[in-house]
Amino acid sequence: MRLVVAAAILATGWASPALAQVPATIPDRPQTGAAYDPYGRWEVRAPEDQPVETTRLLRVEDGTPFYEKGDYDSPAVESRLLPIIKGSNLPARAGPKSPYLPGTDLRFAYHYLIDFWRSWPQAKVRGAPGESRTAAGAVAPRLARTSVFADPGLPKAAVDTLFAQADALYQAVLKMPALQRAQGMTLRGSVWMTRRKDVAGVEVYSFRLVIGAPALRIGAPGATQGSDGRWRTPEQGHNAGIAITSNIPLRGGPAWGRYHGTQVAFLPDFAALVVAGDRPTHVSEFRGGGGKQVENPRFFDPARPKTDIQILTVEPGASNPVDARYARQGSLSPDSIHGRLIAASFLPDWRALVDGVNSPGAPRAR
Amino acid sequence: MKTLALSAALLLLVQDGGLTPVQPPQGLREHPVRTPVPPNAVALSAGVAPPPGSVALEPNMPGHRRFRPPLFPDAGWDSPMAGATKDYAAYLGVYWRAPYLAPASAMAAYPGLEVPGWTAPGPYRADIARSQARPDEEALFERRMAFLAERVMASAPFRDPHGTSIEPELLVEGYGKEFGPRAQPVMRGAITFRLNVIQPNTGSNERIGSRVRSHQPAVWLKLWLNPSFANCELPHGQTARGVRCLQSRARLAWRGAKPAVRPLAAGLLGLDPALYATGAGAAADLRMIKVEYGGGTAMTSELGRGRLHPHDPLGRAIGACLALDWPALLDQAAAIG
Repeated sequence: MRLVVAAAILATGWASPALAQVPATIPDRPQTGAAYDPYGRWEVRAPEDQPVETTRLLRVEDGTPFYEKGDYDSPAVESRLLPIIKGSNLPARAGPKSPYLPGTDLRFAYHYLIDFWRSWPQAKVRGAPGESRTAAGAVAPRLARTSVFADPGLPKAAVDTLFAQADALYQAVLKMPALQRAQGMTLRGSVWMTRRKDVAGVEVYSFRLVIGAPALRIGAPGATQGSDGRWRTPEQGHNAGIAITSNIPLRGGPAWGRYHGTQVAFLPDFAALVVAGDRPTHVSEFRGGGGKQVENPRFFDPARPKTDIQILTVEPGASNPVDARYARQGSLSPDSIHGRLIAASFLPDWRALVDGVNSPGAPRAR
Repeated sequence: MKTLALSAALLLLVQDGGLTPVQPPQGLREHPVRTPVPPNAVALSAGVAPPPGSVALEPNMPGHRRFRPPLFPDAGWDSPMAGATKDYAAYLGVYWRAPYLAPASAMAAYPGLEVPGWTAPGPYRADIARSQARPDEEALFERRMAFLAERVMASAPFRDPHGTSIEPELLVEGYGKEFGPRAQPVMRGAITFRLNVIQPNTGSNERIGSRVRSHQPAVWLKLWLNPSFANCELPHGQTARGVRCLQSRARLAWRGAKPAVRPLAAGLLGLDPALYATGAGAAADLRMIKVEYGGGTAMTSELGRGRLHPHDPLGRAIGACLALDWPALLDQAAAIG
């Protein structure tokens, strides 16, 4: 009987023009279960992330995980460092499947890179010894006074204070084992210092610490190996790096949310954000509330020392736009230079670091 | 009683040049076009320039392949002349001075026109921009703008709307930026009435009580208080208190007998800079108002044929722009202290 009905449907209904004209986009029933209402409100909900099958962990070599081979190719799949969703080239909880920032509907696309280095802090870059990508590069242990570029209007004492702050942050970033090991890259910092004002005209002193991470090129002319076995090679083209900026007005809207306690801003890629003050970074456009959120014109507190860090942003930057896009879409290998710098930008406890370098009695960082 | 009604009708007849129908017609019917088509009009494909010495046959002229007769007298090709052009919107002003169709009238080409629309209930609060204006100036302007918004929302085109939901947005702009350079102290503001079209299975609608609120933007009517810019293109019918701007779909009204506009070019009026220049402590004076409508619906092209239903959101916005006594409203708002 069922076969007969199915055959009748196939014979008549399947090819009938009346059925073919039913638009697929208009559901015949709202999801609330109410009767059809052409003037009603429709609920559109994104489908929940379903549990997925991923490649299995085969073994751990020298603190470095080794996963099954994935079905398709990408730098993230070929690294064999991540569980890959079967039948795709997407690591678990990466790209469009990244976890939401708690309490928001925004997916944090750097999670798979940061989570890798949180889970495997002693992981090594995989490759043959002696290659540029596995060899250890030179790491400057401290900031050099010769790499400071200060606005001539800054007082000498302020330059000293800003240098001490930047140096403390530089050394804190370099505590991460993967950066200490510095496989395939060298690390050095430089600082630019300047005066900045908010819209209301309150002046503060600001620094921008750039931790550059040029890739090693061992075969290049001029490459030298130090007595400690670390390499220095000539730089070429753009470098990946981390830009740490203090006391800069937060363009591009307020923080999105928090990732493991660290505020996340979008400038225009994800950046870690610390606000050490009582004032909101953004206020509503209109006096009584309402409208969009605009920069707080009175953000800087004139009563505080001008060298205090009232706001700090930490932006990892890729050496090329392909790496930047790969990081967002779940294709970047965690052991790439950009992958390690992203982890180094979000793993430190920035709030404690800012509290440590601010003047005594400054408001706690949040 | 009968004499009173007759004299009122006569008064209307005198006031608007006989355009107001004394005997309201029942329902809609098609009216034959009386105005002759130009003898040198030629039918052309779209986008083809007429040959020298001739003009294109427009879709509102009898004989055009898409011609349909107007649904109202003195509409479409019969519209009154305003200078060198025709004022196709005039019939909507006539209709909304004495509306005679049932509020829930339906028409096949206007799905959803009979659905009662939601209107934002008062009292209306203003958004106040961060400017150099003093709080008392802002409060005064907010009161004036709330008065204007209430009066417009209670007017015939906006009261009990069907086929559209209407929400006013009030913005007290003040003058200058809070931390910017010192600005000329003239309070400015803007009221935007958003007429969202109600159509089945279109945009996003929600039922509020027995009415429907639509989030499908269609038409807006904007009131600029003390406008900084009066781009009055194709001015027509300038009086001591105001002027219509046919091309820029707006009208201006000002206080005082002196004209607040001056010609900038042929067919273009600009603001007279002396309008806001006089007097100390006159920042909160309300001296001019600009009423502008914009946007449109799927039936906008029916306006030129005289077939746009007056209850369409665009018909309502044009009706409010043309049928309300804006100089009187301006005087009443400016008198609020």
